[in-house]
Amino acid sequence: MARYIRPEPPFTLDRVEMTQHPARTVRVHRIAAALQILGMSALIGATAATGTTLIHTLSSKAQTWHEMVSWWRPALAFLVLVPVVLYAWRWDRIKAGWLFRGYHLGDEELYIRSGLLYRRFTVLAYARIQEVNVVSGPIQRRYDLATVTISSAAGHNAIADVDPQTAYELRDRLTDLARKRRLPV
Amino acid sequence: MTLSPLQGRLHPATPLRRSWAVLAALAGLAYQQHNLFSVGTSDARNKIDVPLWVACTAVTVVVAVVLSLFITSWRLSHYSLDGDELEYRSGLVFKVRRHCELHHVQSVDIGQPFFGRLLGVCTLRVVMSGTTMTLSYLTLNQARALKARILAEDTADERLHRVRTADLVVALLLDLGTNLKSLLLVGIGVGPYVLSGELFTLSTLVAFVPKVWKLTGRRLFTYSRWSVTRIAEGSYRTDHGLFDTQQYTYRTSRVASIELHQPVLWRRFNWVEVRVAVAGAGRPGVLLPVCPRTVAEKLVLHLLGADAVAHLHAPIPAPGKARRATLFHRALGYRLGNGYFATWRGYFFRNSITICPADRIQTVSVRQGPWQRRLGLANVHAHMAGGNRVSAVHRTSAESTDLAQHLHQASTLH
Repeated sequence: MARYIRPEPPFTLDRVEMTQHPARTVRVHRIAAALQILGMSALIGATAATGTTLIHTLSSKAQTWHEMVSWWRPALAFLVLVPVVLYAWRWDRIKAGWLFRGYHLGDEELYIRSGLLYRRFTVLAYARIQEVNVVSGPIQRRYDLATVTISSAAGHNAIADVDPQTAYELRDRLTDLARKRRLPV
Repeated sequence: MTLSPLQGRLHPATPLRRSWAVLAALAGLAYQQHNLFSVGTSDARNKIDVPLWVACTAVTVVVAVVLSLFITSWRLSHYSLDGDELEYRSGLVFKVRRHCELHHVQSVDIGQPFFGRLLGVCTLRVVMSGTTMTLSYLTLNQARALKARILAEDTADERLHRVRTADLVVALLLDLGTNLKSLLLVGIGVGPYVLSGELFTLSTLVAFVPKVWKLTGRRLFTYSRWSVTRIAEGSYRTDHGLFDTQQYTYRTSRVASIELHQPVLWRRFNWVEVRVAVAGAGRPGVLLPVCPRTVAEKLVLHLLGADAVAHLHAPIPAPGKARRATLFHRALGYRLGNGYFATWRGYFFRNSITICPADRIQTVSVRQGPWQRRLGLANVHAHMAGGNRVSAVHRTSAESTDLAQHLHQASTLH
């Protein structure tokens, strides 16, 4: 499924193959997605279980713990499949997303391609860059990755998940280019 | 020529600006508890008897403390304008000292809140990029002198347009989208009462009344007596307000984009609302709440130049496929050329045109959602300084590639 993702016209550059992010970003994103889905399903599950128990207790006037949880059926265990299926789908989409994402440093401008369901392709002239930062979160650090964020007057853009070494080079290169191409204010 | 420094204190009424509510609340509380105490007499039961001298001393002490706090804080608030620097000091416990360099100033506005208007005082707002320095209260003379010195411009004002109250009332009544929205809010608020018949359910209205007021009555008050004045080359000021008068100054050098909105029932009068997005300010501000289209075009000419006006006509319509992506496909369009980018959008009961100078575009992005991907459509956004964007939506893939490229080229031409 994932390997059929090929960027199509509004998201491609003429005669240029965009730089791909390191392959281990897939892994990082899968871990992040797993934590996210686990956390969300734990939260939703706990809320739903408490709510149901409460309503059941109130409506049946249950006295003991046993009566309070008597709404429980073994078939409900299949609800666990919901986050599992969701994660299986995310697992595939994350790989596809990695195939889609990319960046390219042109002569005068930076191109960033990101997203997958909602795709985005940004062109940012070096002259408009105001600030370049390198940031790195805990999971990223564990897998030796970093994100370069680029601010212009219109807001932030990011080249997410590259090697730290590449990130430092990108930062230096972009600040240098921004200084050289600076527009007269 | 060096001018003598302009300095002085804020108006003595200044401490009342924030504390009048507290004082009023205290007075109210004292009045409410008045039958708990009796002064000078000891015949009443269930009352705490306070001798007359204690009562007098207590009142004197309270009044003296409050007055001395007011007087000290007034004496400590001090502004001075010396050369290129405006300085403001105040604060009794927490000292505040602010400096502002005059060449960072973007606009200076004088506002008169309702309470201040009763006392004949006003507020001076000095707007810099990102922050605003407020001096309140000042007397009108102080504020005018400061403003004239800060702007260092002769004020040969030329009034460009004034909104007639009758037009404004009609326009606000015909603004179908907003009125339906406020009706809906009222409906949601009254709904529980209609369904249950219990009077206390009307308390839900408390949550909706401020919002409805903001959408209906308050707009009438803030928009009335609206005028646009050209105060200098490239500076335009709006004055408005029925009870509290407000001003805002737009500089052409800071204008990121201009929006012309037209609610559906305004079409037969050919009226529009003009909004201006300024670099650094979050949301577009109102330049004119209602005016004929010719006046709006005149303002676009003033703010962006003659070429821009030609761009307000003849959009390139959206492709036929767009009708499967949105209800408002007939209102969509864009136009790019001569250094201006204009886009047409449609919303519920409202159409809008946005125009921006292409050389002020910061970044260009192409976006595509899953449904658009099936139809082969994409959106092209031009991001302006300050975060708002001008978007040509639902263009074909080839067209959007092309448009993004042209926009990017136009944005870097200097």
